[in-house]
Amino acid sequence: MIASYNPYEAEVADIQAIDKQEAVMLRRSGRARRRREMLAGYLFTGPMLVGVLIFTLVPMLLSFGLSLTDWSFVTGIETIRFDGFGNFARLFATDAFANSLVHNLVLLLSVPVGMTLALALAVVITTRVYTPGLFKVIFFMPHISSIVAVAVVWQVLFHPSYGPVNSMLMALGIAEPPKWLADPSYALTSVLMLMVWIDMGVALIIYIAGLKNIPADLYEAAEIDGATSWKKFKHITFPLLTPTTFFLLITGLIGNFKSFALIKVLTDGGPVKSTTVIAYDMYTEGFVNLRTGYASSMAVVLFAVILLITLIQWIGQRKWVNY
Amino acid sequence: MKRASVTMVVLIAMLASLLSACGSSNNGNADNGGNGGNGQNTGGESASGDNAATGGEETVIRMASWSLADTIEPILEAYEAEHPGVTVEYIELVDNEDSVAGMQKLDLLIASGEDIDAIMLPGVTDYSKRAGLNLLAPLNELIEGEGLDYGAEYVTDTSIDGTYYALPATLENYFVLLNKDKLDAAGLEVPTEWTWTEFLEYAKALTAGEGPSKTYGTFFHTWPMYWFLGLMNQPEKNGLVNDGVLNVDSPQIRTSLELRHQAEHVDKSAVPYADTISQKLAYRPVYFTGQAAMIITGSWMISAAGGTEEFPASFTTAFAPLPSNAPGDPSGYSLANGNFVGILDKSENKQETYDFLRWYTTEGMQVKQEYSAWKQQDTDQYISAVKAQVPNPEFIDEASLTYFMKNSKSAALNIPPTYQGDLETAYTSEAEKYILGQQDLETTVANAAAELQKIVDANE
Repeated sequence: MIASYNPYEAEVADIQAIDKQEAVMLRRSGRARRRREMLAGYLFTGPMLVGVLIFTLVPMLLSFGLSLTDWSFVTGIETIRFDGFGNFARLFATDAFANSLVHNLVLLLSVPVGMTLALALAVVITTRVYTPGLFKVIFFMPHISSIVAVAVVWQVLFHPSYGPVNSMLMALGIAEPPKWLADPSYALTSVLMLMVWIDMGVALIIYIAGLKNIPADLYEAAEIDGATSWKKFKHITFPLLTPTTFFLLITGLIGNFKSFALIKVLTDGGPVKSTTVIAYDMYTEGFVNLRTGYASSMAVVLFAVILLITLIQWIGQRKWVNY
Repeated sequence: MKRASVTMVVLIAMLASLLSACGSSNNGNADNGGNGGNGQNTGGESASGDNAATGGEETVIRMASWSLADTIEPILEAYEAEHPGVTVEYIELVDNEDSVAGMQKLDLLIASGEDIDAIMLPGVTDYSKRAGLNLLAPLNELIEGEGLDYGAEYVTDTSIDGTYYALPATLENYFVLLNKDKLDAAGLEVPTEWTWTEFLEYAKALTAGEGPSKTYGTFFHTWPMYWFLGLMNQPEKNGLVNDGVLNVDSPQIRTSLELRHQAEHVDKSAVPYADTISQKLAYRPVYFTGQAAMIITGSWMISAAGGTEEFPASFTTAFAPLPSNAPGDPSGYSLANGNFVGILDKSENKQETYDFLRWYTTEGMQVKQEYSAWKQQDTDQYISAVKAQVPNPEFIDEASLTYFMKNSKSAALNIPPTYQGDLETAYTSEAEKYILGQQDLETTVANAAAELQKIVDANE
């Protein structure tokens, strides 16, 4: 082998040196830039972070603290009395709280039911309907209407003696139709149906967006293989929508657990406490009966239950969500 | 670049200091109101210092209630005119006279340390709840200091275990409003003394028609009191719990529940409870549109009988006392309630506030032309004042109203326990099961007694 002589050795060394220098400078400036970017990022998110801290995290921690006390917020901080787990003991000793928790769990059914309907409608609207936009608006309408207005309309529809719903049932030959909102055994079902109707629009819109993201070539390939519509849905649409389903399920269940306004305006927890939920109990104890400590302990239990359900879902998602 | 980011940091710092300045000035306000343990003393002193600086010897009394400022302020002006050196500021809690929302707003104001001396309470349950929380100042010393004979001055006795925490302003007692046009058409007299059996007969006779336009004999509103009507007409021991003793398994409660059942399910003379709750029916529209011919209601409806802007009267209204449980029972009695005025315990001007409230509950009520708990109130003058105010005075039946007012007897004021709200909720929910056909009378009484006993035991 001939030992090669490189006439440009010096230049190369120079260039390498310059490269190294530049790289250092670049790295240095990169670090500086990153720091600047981080600063800008914090500045932009700052107001939000401060807001979350002051209006969400701090009150949350305070309510954890308050749940261990016997206190009414109207009496001033000096009357606060530490009570250990007395509130929780009382909470689990009363049937009322257990009932509300059961009602909450029953109402959770509205989420899967609503999502199933929304998915079916989303598929139909995207593939088989003219003016899909119109239908999107129609199904989204209940969600953007005022809950109070919605409640009043359904009160009239559900009128036990002369309402359209019961008139129709009676015309169909049912002599004693349920009294819906005034009937302790049907009131919760009525609320559940309304929840499905109100929340379906959101799930529908998100499902439609999810459907648009599924590549069309998958369907074309399946068609060439002779797949039926049902097989296409089962093996392409549904699996590819699982992240959407997961998102809707988590947010839906959390939102459902916190439902308060609908109960307040529609039934006030009645009749015979058949539609009380934890959020409603919290309101009555905290702001009507003025027992801040007791109401806070309910908030803590609600928090724990939601956290638990969400954790179970996060762990469970590995089994069925395809990313 | 560097300069730009420096400017930005400075800007942010300025913004932050601005925000914190707002925050601290808010804190300052709160401290003035005497919020919290450590801030209270210094705050109170600085507040009174401010007053002294601005108005010399001027005392400022701050009063809060759910009533509209327009209706209260003329009375306050009358007081200020008579008592130079005193200014009464009025805090209007809500703009729709909703006392429930007003009380919630008041609780928040008190919690945030707002400077308030006098508060008005819409009823005995609210009074007992807040007295139980030690929000209200005891008035015994002030009453003794004035040398006042309380029993000779006021109809309603507000003492809780011997301590007065408030003075009664308006008087609320209960009676039956009757649509006199419908009574005449059915050939019925305005009753002056009657029993629940007769009440039910009236209701049945006044019921007419079918379907959505049916006229019912009577309407029971959703308030808890409509589930213990047989207790409301008792001269004493008229609470669900009296001195810690349950009063549920009693003939009065059985009468109350049976009469509701009889009217709704047997005679079909009362608006069905299912309609009432599912449609959230309210007593004013039901009565003034003629959907029900009689309602059991309280003294605030006397002037409403002459029509209001929202519910104009179109027929003559007569007045009858509450029916008694059985023939021969004392008649004309009614549970007493009303608005009460008290002094907040943290008020700095207790004596001045007390003087004002004494005037407000006596002469002030006369000026305001209220149906008051003051024993020296002039009934005839009150009636003519009411008639002068309403749009349709001819629809108030003066003969029966005068008879009722002159012959009505107020039962001893029953100060409910602080947990009255819980008792009423528990009792109402059992009574609802009965009227909605979920359980029979005996089960209802037994369950209600058991539930209420649990609440009493828990609050011992």
